[in-house]
Amino acid sequence: MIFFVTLLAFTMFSVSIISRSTENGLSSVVNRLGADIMVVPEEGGDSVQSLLFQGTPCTTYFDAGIEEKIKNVEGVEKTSPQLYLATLSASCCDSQLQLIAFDPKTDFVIQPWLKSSLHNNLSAGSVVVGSSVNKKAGDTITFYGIEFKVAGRMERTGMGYDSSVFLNFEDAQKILESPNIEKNKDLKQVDNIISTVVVDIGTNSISKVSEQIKKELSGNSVGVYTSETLTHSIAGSIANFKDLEKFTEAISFLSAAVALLSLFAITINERKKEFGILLSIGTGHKQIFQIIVTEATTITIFGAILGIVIGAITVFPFSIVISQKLALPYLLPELTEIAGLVIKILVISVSTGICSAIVATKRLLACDASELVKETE
Amino acid sequence: MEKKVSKTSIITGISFIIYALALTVGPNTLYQGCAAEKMMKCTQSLNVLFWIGIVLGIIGIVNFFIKSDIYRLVASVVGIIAGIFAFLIPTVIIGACSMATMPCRALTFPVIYVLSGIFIVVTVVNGILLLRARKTQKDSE
Amino acid sequence: MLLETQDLSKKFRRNGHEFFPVKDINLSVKEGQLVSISGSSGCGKSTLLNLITGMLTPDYGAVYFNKENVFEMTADRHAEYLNQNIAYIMQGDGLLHNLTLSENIALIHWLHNRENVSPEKIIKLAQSVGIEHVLDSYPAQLSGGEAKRGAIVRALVNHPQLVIADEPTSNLDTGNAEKIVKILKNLSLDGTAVIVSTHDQRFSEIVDAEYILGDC
Repeated sequence: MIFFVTLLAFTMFSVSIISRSTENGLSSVVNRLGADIMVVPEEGGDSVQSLLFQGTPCTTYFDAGIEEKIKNVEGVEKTSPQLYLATLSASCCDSQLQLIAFDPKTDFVIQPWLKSSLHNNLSAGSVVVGSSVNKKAGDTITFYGIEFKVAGRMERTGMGYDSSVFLNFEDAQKILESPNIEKNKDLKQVDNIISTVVVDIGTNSISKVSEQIKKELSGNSVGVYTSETLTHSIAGSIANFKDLEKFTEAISFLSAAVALLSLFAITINERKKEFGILLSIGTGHKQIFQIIVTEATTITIFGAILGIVIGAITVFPFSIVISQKLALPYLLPELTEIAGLVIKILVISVSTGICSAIVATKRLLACDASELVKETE
Repeated sequence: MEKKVSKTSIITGISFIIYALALTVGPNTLYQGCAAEKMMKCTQSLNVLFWIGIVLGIIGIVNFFIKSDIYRLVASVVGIIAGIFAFLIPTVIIGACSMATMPCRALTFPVIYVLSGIFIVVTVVNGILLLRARKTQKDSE
Repeated sequence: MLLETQDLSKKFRRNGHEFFPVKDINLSVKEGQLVSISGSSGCGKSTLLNLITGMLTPDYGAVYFNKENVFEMTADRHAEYLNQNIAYIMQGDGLLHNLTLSENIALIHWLHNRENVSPEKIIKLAQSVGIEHVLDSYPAQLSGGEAKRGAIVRALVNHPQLVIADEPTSNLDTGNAEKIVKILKNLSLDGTAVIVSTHDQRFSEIVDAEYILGDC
């Protein structure tokens, strides 16, 4: 019986954590994007998505003059450029990082949440690192042979920003002018380049403005994305996970309920002798119920806790591997949400066990006590 | 009494051998670490854990040939210390790669931490059973 | 009259046919009386005892204990009847195998009193039947005679007015059987009514009344 309850709790806990983590990851992406529209190089669209969702570093660029053209489109209120540069494959012990440069004067996407890590604006020569980068404020970090000071480290976002480093355009320009930039084989041009233009359209219609931008830039090889189109592909996968979570919950619960009902019936049937003796010495029906329900509660609580612990050992230490295999943004739920899930699983497990015990006990006590006593003779 | 002692003997032997395999064979097969082009922190950590695994494996095998409770009690203490070191070596003493997404930090060491935790729990419980068996034996003498 | 049955009848079905192992039984037992119920195997002795305890519902008739109809008792009152007023010593050992003999004895006291019986009382009762040395043993470790005497001690803890014993000497050697007969006789001499179902001739010599169930 403990096995089935453990299996129920393990399945519900693991699937729920994975599903909620992917949901949190998607919310994180949508919240952090900040822009209504993103314009990227046409051939760089997939790379940018990979960067945002999985943290795969990329180097992609087009001419900075594109920003001026976008500014002139009707409905566009604000624009700001960003530059994406992958670091060189560093030592064999460190993977590539993504450098994301922004213009402090015009940026409206990165600085608002960067301030939560810094409490000030990012000064020249300083960078802010993502949560996966093992540096803290005050450390130094070197890119393309240029040393920078780490001004702060972001909290985990569950998206590509975790393996990114944020710096301003001035410092990015220094990197583009450094001799080591030649080692980046994806970069054919270093003058006047940006990787994306983020656009704020205020209260204007997203679809209308994005169509206008496409028209205006029809001669340039660009991709125009809204946050919806950017996240469309993964939103579907994440919705599937949500369905999987509900389906798994229902199937696990039904299987456990059927298994527990059968097992309780079998166990109590095998203990007929014991209950016959108890009844013959004056144990009341209420007391018999209490004995069986207490046993059921103990078994199910123990089984549920064991299942949750095994589930936790499976999903928490290996969350990075899981997110890599899923190739989706992945952000573990907060402690309060996890606690709520644990309580929900305990309640489901215990109530399933108790209901099964009550059904089996009622059947037992419906017989004449002498039928049970016959087992002893 | 004899039955209880041999049960703990089997638990000691098997748990030590399985954990030894986890520290020696596992990181080279099922949960491989980072590709080693040169000596890195994570490689150094895994090397040390490899030799700890060899020692534990020898302790586990020898256990089947020795009937002494004292041997198993000492082995339990050694095992618990080894398990604790399996946590400390990649985190504090030597270290691992700095990026959380590197294979050693994403997979290899988490597997070792989980298996070390299980090994420590099994060894502690086994040690308690051993002490109880010795106490019962002494009482009956 | 302590216990009376009135036209007590119970039918069963076997191989598609109905039959009455117990039919129109009128039986009465006074305080301190030792009564035996005998008859060949399958004649309904155990069925009759189960009806008297109220653990089997009759098709017709009634059982009165101190003028109270057993089958009109509430569930709680019936449990009290089984625990305090009467004691049923079933065939087999009737002990819980996961408890020691001492714990089995204490359990019947705890069920309705919600407090522990004093160890001294258990020891005294155990000494009266010669099993004080096996109180800490589990039923599987006891001989047939020791288990049966243990069941008797358990039956006496709450000082019942009536003890019902189903084949108390079956499967026992002569020595142990004689001990059981003596214990039950002494009980009745002390004022406790005793009903035994038995084939054992030793009871015929000492009972106050004997009921013989007809051929079946």
